Amino acid sequence: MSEAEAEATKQPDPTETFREMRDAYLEIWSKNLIETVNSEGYAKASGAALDGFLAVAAPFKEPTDKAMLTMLQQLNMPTSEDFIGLAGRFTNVELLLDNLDAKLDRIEKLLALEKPAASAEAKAPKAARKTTQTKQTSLRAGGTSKRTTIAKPVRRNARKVR
Amino acid sequence: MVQAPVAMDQFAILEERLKTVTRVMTSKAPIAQTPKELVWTLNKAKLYRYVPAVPEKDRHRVPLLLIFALMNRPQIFDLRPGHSFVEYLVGQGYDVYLLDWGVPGPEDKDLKFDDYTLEYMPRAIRKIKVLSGVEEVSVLGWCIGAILTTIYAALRPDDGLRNLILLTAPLDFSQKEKLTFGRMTDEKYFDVDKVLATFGNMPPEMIDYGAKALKPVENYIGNYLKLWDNLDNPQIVENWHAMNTWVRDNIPMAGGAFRQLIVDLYRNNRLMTGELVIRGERVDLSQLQANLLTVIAEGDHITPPCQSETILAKVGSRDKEVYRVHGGHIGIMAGNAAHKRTWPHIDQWLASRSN
Repeated sequence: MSEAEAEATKQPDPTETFREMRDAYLEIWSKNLIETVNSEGYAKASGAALDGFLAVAAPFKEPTDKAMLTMLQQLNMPTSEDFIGLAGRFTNVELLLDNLDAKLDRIEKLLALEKPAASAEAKAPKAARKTTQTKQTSLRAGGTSKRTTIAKPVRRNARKVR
Repeated sequence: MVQAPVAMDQFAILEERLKTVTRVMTSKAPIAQTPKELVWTLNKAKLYRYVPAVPEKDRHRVPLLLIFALMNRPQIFDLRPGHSFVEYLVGQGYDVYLLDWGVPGPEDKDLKFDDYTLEYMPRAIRKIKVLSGVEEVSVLGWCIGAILTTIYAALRPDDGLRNLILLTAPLDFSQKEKLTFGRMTDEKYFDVDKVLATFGNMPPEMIDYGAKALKPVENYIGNYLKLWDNLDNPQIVENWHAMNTWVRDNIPMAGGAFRQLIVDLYRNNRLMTGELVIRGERVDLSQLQANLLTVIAEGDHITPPCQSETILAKVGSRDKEVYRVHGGHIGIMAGNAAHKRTWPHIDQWLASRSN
């Protein structure tokens, strides 16, 4: 069936006129309300309503919080403050773990960079090997001085370790 | 006698329509269905990597991170199969990541922009670099997510941020007469400290009311009439259901960040005037060097175009572009025409800068 035929056989919708009127009415209403919401008066009224709500809510909140705190403490149960403190500690541990993860990633990356160099060194002829070695030593001394100390055996006081 | 079956038919149709309305208004649609894996977490924040749909050799080299606002869930990026920005990007060969800020609890009431931009974002981006093996990254920020990405981009220009896409970014608060939120949150009428002292975080119901009150007839009446008028069209009904599921699922905004949004931005416009200080560092927009695309919704009543236009003159980027789309704050990305206009433009812009 072509579009024209479909259009011709389409039954008239009795609610169409009603819908059009409704949409036109809503559009006018919408424009007026948007203007109202944008006005200084609306901002003032909504602020006053919020202040009123807070004025009622705040006096109830403080005694409720205090009563709950006392009750939980007497029952020897953790309070919301305890949970908040615990959550903070967990986040700190997560941050430390993330720092460690970052360090491990860096080490992994450095090792991956060193591997191809080492294999190239093994394949290189004797004369070329010498120059590669010099380059690597200088690189280590400048870039990763901390790891040079780790390579050396460090004398530790056995008592201190205990 | 002849009229009875016709009347019965009408009743059956009406019953069916009422059933559909009840279903879509009382149930949750399955949203955010694109396959993904959790790759990093910190506090409530989660970083997801979407499972690639394109072979590695055909993928774009630079990964893309999506960041949404703080007071809504980011599932709007991945609304429903066949109508998902994430699904589209994955199909176009991007390595896509999503940073979900999570739901702040009472313990997070002091979280500020400082934490989001200098603690969470750099760490998430570091993880992306490790996972993708690429030292560069593209970031797309939407709404308040765009504020966070702009601050991050200006403070950490050497962090490998190559491309920055801002969607409906509320950055310039100078034209106060055009900002309804600005008027509602003016210090004469709105005591932000009193609100946060009572609630800790900004309650989702208040944020939702504030957003819906900007267009009350459309949000409280027109939206439901649109559903009623289109009950015979399953595609529109399913889209409406998915969108309604997302709209109703609001989350609180961390108190510290909300205070900064109102005091530093809405009232004092500190980002654009160069007075915003994040962890002791002044945010200088001229330090932002990444390639920049800012997408403006011409019919946006939450972030009017005047809030996103002026950033181009302030940033240090040499490659910058404004793209204007007909539509609203959410409609330009999740509306029916998004896959024909906004998504292809973003892809076109990003593809040439991602290899």
